[in-house]
Amino acid sequence: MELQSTTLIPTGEGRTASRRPAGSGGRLSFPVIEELSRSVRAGNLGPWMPFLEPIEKRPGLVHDYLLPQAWDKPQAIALLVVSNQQITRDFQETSSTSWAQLPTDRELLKQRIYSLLEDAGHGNWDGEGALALDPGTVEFAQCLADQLPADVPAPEIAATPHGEVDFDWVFDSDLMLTVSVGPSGEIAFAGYFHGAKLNGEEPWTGSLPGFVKCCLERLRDASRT
Amino acid sequence: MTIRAEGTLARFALESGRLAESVVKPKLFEPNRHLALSVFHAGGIGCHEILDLGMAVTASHPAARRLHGWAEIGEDAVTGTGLRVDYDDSPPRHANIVGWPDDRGARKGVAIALANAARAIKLDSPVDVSEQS
Repeated sequence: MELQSTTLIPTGEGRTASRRPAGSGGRLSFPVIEELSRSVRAGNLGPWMPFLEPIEKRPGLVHDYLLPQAWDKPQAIALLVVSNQQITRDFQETSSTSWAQLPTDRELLKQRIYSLLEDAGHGNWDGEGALALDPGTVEFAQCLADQLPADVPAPEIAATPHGEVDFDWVFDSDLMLTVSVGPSGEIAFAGYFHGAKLNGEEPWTGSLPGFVKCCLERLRDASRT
Repeated sequence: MTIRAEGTLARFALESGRLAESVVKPKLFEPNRHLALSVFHAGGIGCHEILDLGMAVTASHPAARRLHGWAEIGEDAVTGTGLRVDYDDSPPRHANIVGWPDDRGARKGVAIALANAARAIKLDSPVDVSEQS
């Protein structure tokens, strides 16, 4: 599975199943990426062109495209940069694309965190007595976003009824991680990694807490197997 | 139409992004601020009745207008995590899952365990209950 070939970025924009390429089959996200990967390696991007959006050229790539790929992730698209020349090399280089190389992706994530205040910035926003999301919690969450390693996909972001900001990575029912930033900046986390379970709480010390870092590494490794 | 086994609970998804194609996300099993998770007894009824139930729940919810689907989980999977199911039958078939840990990390761990044990029923397109009346 070519998970490392994608970087998920939040947009708040949903896509409909009607844009799904014929024959992509199975669970939608990563099978699609795999199929596109095969097409790229075969030098046959033609069938995909209706689904690709051109972006600015970057050094070393002849044609760059975005693949809007949100069929089962309504609040995210997969940013996939592909080239129709020197395909294998370019594609592999793209595979190691990191947030450090694409700093605007991290900014988008932070904007999305900030936008949570629109819906959850007042009490009882869920109709069940939820605590209001505090701007200070949002700042903590944005700090956490700054600390996320470059080689994990961007998470889904949501406010919780307890006044927290959750960062969720859900690959399938056996591979999930949630990291939550509370009003004092304390970090709670829980993960399920193909049967292995981890959860706990750590204080925020200005950098990514050790256990959370460990969970993210585990998530990255498990998602590549 | 399959009649659900006794002890089956349904947790309705009133927000987008709580269900993937075949995966229940832990967020759907996150308790509210008062550490209660609203569910419905789905034993002895089929998909259509559960859908009707979900639409009624959505219509009466103060902050939701769309039903996106639901998760089904056995009561034994819930109690196996140390939680309890309190049936209050108000509205009919309603229950709360209670007994959540105070520790935030442990609570999230339980939500993940429930999501792992649950089955996703995602509607092809969300039902907007305001368009149904």
